[in-house]
Amino acid sequence: MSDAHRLKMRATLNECLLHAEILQQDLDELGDTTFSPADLELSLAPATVRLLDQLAYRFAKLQDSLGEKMLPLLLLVAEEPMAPTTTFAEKLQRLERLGYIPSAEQWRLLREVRNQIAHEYPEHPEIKAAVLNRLLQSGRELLAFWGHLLPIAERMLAD
Amino acid sequence: MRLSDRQRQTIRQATRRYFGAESTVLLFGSRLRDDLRGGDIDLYVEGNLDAAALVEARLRFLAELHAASCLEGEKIDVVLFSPHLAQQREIDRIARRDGVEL
Repeated sequence: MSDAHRLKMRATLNECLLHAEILQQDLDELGDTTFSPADLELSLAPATVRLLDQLAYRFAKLQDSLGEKMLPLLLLVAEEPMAPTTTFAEKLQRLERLGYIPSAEQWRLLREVRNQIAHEYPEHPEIKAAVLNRLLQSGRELLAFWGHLLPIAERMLAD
Repeated sequence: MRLSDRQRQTIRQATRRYFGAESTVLLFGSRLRDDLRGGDIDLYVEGNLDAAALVEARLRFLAELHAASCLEGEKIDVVLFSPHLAQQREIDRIARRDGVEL
């Protein structure tokens, strides 16, 4: 691995560690909370809103750091030959085959959860509650994803 | 309508796959206007599923559309409706009034 790649990977790893740590704390604080449509028709407690905002922010940041920085770096360091026209979907398949990510399909769904945070239209309370509950589930999935990737990145840095 | 035949077919097929054979999908918003350029693809999908299943279906639906070469780089927004939902909202009335079934 070149020094430049090592520096980038270390910085990205530290960035991801911070996002993951706060995301984990947020999920721990929420415990086994599930939201119902009634919770959303009344207003949520300000402390809960702050916690959910922070969770959504850290989920999005961890997703972005992994997708935009860590996954491309892993492919670079692994010196996988890639044509310039290789699509992101093909790169994901390659990462899955190398065992660097547990599932390309799960990654695509987590990406959609991240996009859903920025959904622009007002939703029905039932849908809002289901979206929030799916976000909590996805937070746990993203942390498991990160838990799979972290030792691989650490091993690369140690080599 | 500013969607190609291939885009329309891809959206129709994915709608049925994830929201059920009886589901419907309408296009509404700026992509209906031929005098404009660019803009999001705004879809209104109605399926006979409960809220949690609708949200899960939307994730899988969008993941498939975003992976389709004919929709690469498009921003797609999906408004959901189902008979299981308690009430209609303003967005339901607008999308049903102005939307065109794909």
